[in-house]
Amino acid sequence: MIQAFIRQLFLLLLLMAMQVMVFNHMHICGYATPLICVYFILTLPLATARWAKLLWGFATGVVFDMFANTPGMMAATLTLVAMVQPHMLTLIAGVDKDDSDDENTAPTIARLGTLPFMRYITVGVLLQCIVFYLLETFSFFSITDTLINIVGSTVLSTLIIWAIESIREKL
Amino acid sequence: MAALIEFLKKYNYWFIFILLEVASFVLFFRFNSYQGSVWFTQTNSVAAKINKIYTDVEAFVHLDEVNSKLTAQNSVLQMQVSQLRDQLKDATRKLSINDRHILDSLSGYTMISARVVSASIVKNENYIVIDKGSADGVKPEMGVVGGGGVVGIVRMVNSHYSLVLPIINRNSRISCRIRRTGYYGSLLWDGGSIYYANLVGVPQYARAKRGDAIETSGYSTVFPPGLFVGKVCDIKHAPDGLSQQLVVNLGTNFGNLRDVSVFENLHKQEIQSLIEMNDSLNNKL
Repeated sequence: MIQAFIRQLFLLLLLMAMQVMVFNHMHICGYATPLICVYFILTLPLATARWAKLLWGFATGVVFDMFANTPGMMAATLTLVAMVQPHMLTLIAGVDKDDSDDENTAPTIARLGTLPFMRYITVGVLLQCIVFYLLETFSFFSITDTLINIVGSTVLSTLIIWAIESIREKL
Repeated sequence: MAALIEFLKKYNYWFIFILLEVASFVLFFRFNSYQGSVWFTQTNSVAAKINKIYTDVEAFVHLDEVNSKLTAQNSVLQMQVSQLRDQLKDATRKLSINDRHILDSLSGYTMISARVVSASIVKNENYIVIDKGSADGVKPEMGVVGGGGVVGIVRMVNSHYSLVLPIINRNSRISCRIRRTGYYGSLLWDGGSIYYANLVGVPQYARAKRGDAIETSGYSTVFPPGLFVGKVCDIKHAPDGLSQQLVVNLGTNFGNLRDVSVFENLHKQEIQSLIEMNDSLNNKL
């Protein structure tokens, strides 16, 4: 239990360091910024209690907000993602919570297969980008810019998460 | 009662979800006004320190490149200095009253050089944090200038860091004029591209042309007059029909801004006290 928690914490710190130090400084063409913190929420072990998922989401969001100077935005976004994550797993990736034989079983690329996993990640990242950018602009005034932001960031984040997941699988 | 407890047990995550979302939105609305973002950047010295380490490392990695650039620049500048010194000998006798005025007003300013620690450029309310604070003599309302031109105005300071309101923030307003003709207006930014801002309130008869240089007017005590801001790249009619709106291509590239200077006006106190004296006289009348 404690071991699993520490492993999660370590992964979170690593992801946040990458997000804060590298990805927050990338603005491809002024639009696409990789937002990879959702990866942590999407790959929480299946057996994690729902309230624990929510708290992880909120905590991840607050840390991101502190460094990106977007108070509350990512916290609200990731709490929402953590809320719908179990439903997305069942609906999109076709995983049942009862499948988990071990408390550490997580939705990985090896377990779900490449296509269902990518589908699941894409939807999760898209949800994150939509909520985050709508909160950030908080108006429909420049909706085209916001849409380009959402699409660009979704594509970029999904690709980077795919890369990270592939590397993790090899380890 | 037992059914109620059972219900609460089963759906506890809904309450946590609502609680956390409410907390997020409290943060969102409480801290997203401009001043609010200060709490996360300024008072949060942990984030500022980590950001500083990041910039330090980045600066170190680029040292080679910077060094060669500086050397090249240095030699060019030295050549310029010797040329200018010769020209100055002839020119000092012919200085117009206006030029002398500009030189005089510049002598009232001192500069503090600083480094950008963190900056945002993709939001509507952007900010820049620099690594000099009240301990180094930076005070609110001081002007900040980079290599390419005017950057913004210091908004808040703590002991070692300051928050700068750059031109590319919707709350920024800087008095500027057209260098060629002297007509002035306010430089505003309305979101969108970080390379362009608008000079509004310029009279129709100002005869601005594309390519005209825009500089600070010096009407506020923040900037000395004549600092380069950008170039006119488009001219539009303002909605009120009375004035023009000039689209200005900013001289400062906020995307890779690193070294800046903070301008301190030594005579600001005197000017302020004059204004206050005038106000108190008006109150008495």
